[in-house]
Amino acid sequence: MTPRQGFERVSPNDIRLGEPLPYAVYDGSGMLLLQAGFVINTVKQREVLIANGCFISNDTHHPKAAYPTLPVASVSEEHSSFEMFDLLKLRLKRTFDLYKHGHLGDEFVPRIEGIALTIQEACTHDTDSALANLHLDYDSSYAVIHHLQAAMLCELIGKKLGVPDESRLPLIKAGLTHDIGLLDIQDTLDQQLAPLTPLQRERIHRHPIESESILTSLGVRENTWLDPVRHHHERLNGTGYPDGSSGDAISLPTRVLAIADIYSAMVRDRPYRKAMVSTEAMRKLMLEQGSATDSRLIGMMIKEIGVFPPGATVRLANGEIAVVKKRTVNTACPLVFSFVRADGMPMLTPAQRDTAHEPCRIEGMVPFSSHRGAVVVLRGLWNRH
Amino acid sequence: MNRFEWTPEYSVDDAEIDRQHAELIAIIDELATQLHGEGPSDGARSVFDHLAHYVTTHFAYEEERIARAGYPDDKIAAHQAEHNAILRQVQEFERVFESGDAAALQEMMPFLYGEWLIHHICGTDREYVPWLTAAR
Repeated sequence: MTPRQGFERVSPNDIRLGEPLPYAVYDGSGMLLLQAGFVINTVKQREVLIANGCFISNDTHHPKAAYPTLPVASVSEEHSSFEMFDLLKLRLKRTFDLYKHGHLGDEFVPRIEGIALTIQEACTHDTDSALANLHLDYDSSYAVIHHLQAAMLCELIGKKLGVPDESRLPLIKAGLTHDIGLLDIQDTLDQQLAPLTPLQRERIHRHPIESESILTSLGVRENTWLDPVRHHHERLNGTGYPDGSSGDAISLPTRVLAIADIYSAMVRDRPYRKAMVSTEAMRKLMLEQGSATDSRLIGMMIKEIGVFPPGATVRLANGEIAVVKKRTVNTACPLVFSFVRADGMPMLTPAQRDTAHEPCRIEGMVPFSSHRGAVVVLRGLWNRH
Repeated sequence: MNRFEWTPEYSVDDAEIDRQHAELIAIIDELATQLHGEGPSDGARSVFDHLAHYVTTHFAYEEERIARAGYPDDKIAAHQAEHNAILRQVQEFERVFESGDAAALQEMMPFLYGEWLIHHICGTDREYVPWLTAAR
């Protein structure tokens, strides 16, 4: 097919399998086929795409994709960390998919390392946007979001503890892979309302050991990666599994991963219960896990991500619903943008509010699931324009 | 010349599923032609309605067929989840047609082509082929 003016053909070599497309792809008539960010996974898929005509627009004025233009608040900072996490979701999903289909050999370790480094970079560049992205996610699979969130919390707590950059990396990698032993049944667990079958209970009980042996078979040799994975369900009072270790026998990195794992599981919707808002999850962690987890680390995590973390939806004293944009020095008074008026009507443009100012004081958190419809407007607060 | 056409390369080793996939790809091709015009037309709407109707029957047939071929339960559940996600998106586009939002309509082709044809038909659907072949 001869391309229309303004388009040029993409060579098959330019389409890297498993990587998000850096540009939108059109067919020969200029019709948009794939948005930028789409991932081609197999040689066959690439062949089909090439056969259908695969062109990119070389006209910078050409509209890349016709998204409806939505009103957004005028925030001028750059928010690349937010976008970086959108890509990280794709990269981790792809890595898990390849692993599930047995298509990953030596590639696994470098892929996870690449993701871990990007998490570190995104958290260093702009922690608020990185936190917000995962709290505002509504459609990625549990496995992807849970591992990314655990990995990010490991990075944030590790940093707070003063662990140097390169020593934090193994723990981020442990966070990204700690439940890999459950990946094959995760989709089923995600949809199951019925109580766990004895076999499933057994699988769950065994998953830390299973995860460790899978990682070993994929070429992981670092003990600082494998150890937290094997022991992330051990508890300080000896009630955990698989080895029933207690107290000082549980290393500091393992304790960090245990807390990151519990917190990130609590704040997501599960088939058998709704997600907890983060304040509730933190309170529960403090109260119920008192003797089982390291409360000093829980305190540190709360201090680091804030009582109201970025991306959390909150109700203000004046009745408006707002989203937390940025933490401030006062953890109870973050910077927020209201997006639902006191009378329940959505705002066309989110408006910044000062939560240190009494009428806009934060009264409490509301579940994001009640406001999913606003997700595009909310994400607009973090996207660059 | 058609934009998208079923070729034997797409075959999943089951004549009926192949026939249904060919029909689906033909409908997507027709829809692409209709949509590439000047925005929502009545023609596009009726092709889309046909697609929405056809796909429901097709997914039901395919799920039943792979279950009969002994495809494992957890894989069937995952496959159904992907079907359901596609159906939800199809319903979403029904609303877009109702609202006449031309910009939102432009996202339909990347969905039909990317998520459905490339990821589903040329991806996920290929995973059950060994079971269908073994069950013959």
